[in-house]
Amino acid sequence: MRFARPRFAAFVVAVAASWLLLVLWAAGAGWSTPPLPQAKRELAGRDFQPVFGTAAVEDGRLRVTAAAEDQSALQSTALANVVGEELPILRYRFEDFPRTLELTLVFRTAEQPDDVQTIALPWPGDGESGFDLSRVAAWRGTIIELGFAEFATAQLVAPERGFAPFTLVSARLESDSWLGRVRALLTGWSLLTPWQLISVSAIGPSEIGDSSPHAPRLPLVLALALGLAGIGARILLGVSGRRLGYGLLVAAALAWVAADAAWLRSLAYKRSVDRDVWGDLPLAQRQDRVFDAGLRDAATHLKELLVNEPATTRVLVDADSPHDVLRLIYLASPLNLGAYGELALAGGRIPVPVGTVLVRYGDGSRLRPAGNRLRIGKQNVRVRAMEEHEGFAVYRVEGVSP
Amino acid sequence: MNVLAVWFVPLLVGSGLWVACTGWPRRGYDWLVALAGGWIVGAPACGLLVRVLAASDLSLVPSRVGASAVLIGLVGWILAWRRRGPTSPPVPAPLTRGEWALAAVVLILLGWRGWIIAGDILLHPTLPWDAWAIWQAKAKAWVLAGHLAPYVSFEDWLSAPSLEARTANAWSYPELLPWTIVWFASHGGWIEPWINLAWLGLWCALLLAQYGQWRSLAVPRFAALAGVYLLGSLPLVNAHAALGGYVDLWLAALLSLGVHAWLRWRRDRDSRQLLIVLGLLPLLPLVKLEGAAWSIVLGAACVFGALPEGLRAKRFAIGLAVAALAIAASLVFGVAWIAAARYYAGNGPTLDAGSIGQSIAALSTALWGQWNWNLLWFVLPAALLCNAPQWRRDPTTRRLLVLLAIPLALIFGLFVFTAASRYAQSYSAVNRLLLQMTPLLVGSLLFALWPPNAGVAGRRDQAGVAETASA
Repeated sequence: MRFARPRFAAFVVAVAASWLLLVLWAAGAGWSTPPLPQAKRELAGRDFQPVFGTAAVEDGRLRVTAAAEDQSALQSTALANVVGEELPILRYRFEDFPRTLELTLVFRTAEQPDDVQTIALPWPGDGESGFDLSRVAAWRGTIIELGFAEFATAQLVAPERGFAPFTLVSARLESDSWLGRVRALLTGWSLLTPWQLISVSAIGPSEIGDSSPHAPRLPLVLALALGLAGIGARILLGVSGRRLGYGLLVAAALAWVAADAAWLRSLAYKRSVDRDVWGDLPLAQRQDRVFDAGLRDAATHLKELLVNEPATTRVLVDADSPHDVLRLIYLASPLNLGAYGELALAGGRIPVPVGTVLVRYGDGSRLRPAGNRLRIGKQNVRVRAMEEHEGFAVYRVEGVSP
Repeated sequence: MNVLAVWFVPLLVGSGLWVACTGWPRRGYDWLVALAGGWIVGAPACGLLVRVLAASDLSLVPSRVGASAVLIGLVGWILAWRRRGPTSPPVPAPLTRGEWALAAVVLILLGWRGWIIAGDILLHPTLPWDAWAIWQAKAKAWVLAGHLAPYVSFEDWLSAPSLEARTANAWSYPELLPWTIVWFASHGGWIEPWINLAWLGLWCALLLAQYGQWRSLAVPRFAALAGVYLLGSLPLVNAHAALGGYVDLWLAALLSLGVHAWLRWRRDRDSRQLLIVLGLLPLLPLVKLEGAAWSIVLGAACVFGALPEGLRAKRFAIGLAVAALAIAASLVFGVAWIAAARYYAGNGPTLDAGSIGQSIAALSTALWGQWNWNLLWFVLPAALLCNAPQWRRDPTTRRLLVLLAIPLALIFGLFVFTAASRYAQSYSAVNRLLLQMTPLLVGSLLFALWPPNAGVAGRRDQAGVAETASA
């Protein structure tokens, strides 16, 4: 089909303009926002000081060479005359930033100097990344300190394995602009995040549902762009019916492939993270490298301690959280384990058999006998310590009286 | 057991059972359905055999389960061979240049993705919560202990300390997947990356089987190829394949195989397809609790389709009565899914406008505001709306949509009007239930855009004439 040239030109211009407006809407840019930033506050790497961890200035950049004892690192700088609302666009550049670390922005305001605010940032990669802080409610008032914190990737990397040396090249705060907002939007759409527990249930840039501030995601924006193109074709080109349908179908197919390309890049990134974490191990040993290494060690020790127990011996475990209880049960398999919490929930209604083994892991556990006595509901349980430390203890039930 | 045998035996037993039901495959897509669908069915079939033949001693898995599965598979193929008819298959039309190009693009895009997923699976241990807390916890304990001890409630477990039993939070959950995992662990023992590779096999088999099913229902070749790409590229489907350990993709595959066999039976009046449906119906509740609900829906649809002409006017009432009977029977026999349904619906419906609004907003975000489904939930309603005059004439499309609407309505009701709404608001379950419908949703999109039997085949269907899909 051929269209009159002016009509077609009008269609192209109208669609391009509507898509530009759509992108600006998705980026959160308003009419009054200038196209380019009017003010900037440049921060070189050398402006930051290590708060946790070890770092040194090299060629004007900050080379972070070691994490602190708790395996985290923090670099910060004091700021003067920075008003959050006036400089809401953050640009940041790192080099050699490991995929096994998560990056967090840390800041304090003069209005609430004791309240340290933290915002998870997209993985920086090797280029410059952007983040729109105007979506963050706490980014208001006078910013007196700004920094970057790094932690081992949660739920995936053991803290002691997360850190590798990297360089903080620079950071920049910019006044609001179309350019800054669109760059931040593109960083958000890059989807470079590792697998997390929620990944089997919902997938987003931060993979934590919608609890973090974010721009509309790419599939929604693509769908709206298709709708605008369809309206333009209907009004300006006079296309309708099946022809319009086929045109939109082809456009939808292209949009699908475009979104898929972003997702494929994300999928490849997730594999890269996993390669960095487990790639140096033989296949059969990879399951032994877990992010909760303390639980794994406790489970291994428990199995050694109970190696001669009959398979029917009941082992009840308690820990700081339901997650830790379930992990301990899984990692200590094939011991015959159950959750001590269920016994406590039953209020001692279920008699505890003599010979049962009780395991305490972590500091928050309720399983703390007074001497050799433990009260479970109405039951007075006599136990013998098989092993007892502050964070880990194993007891054998030797007698129960009402 | 040899590594190849662990993968090949499910293929042999599943495809053997499949062709024993449907007959010797004659066309290319029939082969695809028999082999890929066979692998999907064969893996849980091996799990069932583990439970029946080697529960007391898992060292017997290779000799007992492996040998029995091979025997069953061979018997199935021999039966199909002996009963094959004399008719020669129609010669398929050669692929056009455009179809070759599309096939190449789809293969490259999916092959590349498969390579990434395979590499990822082999790198990491089991990661997602429910995978290690529920589905693999039982299997791991069994594999390391060397036998299948029964899982009982906490109270029963602690009250009878001499009993060879275990307990878990999810002790009453269906055990077909853990049995199947035991099968995949029979090579090399408990090596999580190796076991989780089964999910890559499932992803591949699902895509191949879907292509075959769509082609057998006369979906054009290019549309079926596009459908395979759409399904294989969905982020949440990829996540379930790459992370491994969850049961939803297995349920999606088995449900889709059953529904497509039902569609073929309704269209062609080919009772051999009904055998497939009847074989899959009991598998669904054995895989996951909600599988019971999908099984009842599919079972009621079978009764609905089998009604004689005289009762057609009352078919909806009869279909409802069958579903009600199945639910009543589940109540009487205390089937586990009823307990779950009671748990969520027990306190009556949630009629708080604020909660309903939040749930609907969260559900909308899950469908349209996240990356889970690419553009599927935008394109599907648009296609249904814009091409309604076409697909309305196609009985196959209408049947699929009605069958799909029931579980979707149930999911909507569950996550909006019951206590389960908190799972919608946290995005922790709603997408996984929708995932179970995903192959059917993609199929609906294809059928809506290219209704395969809107013209002649629709009239044939009305007349109940056995009709063979054109190649």
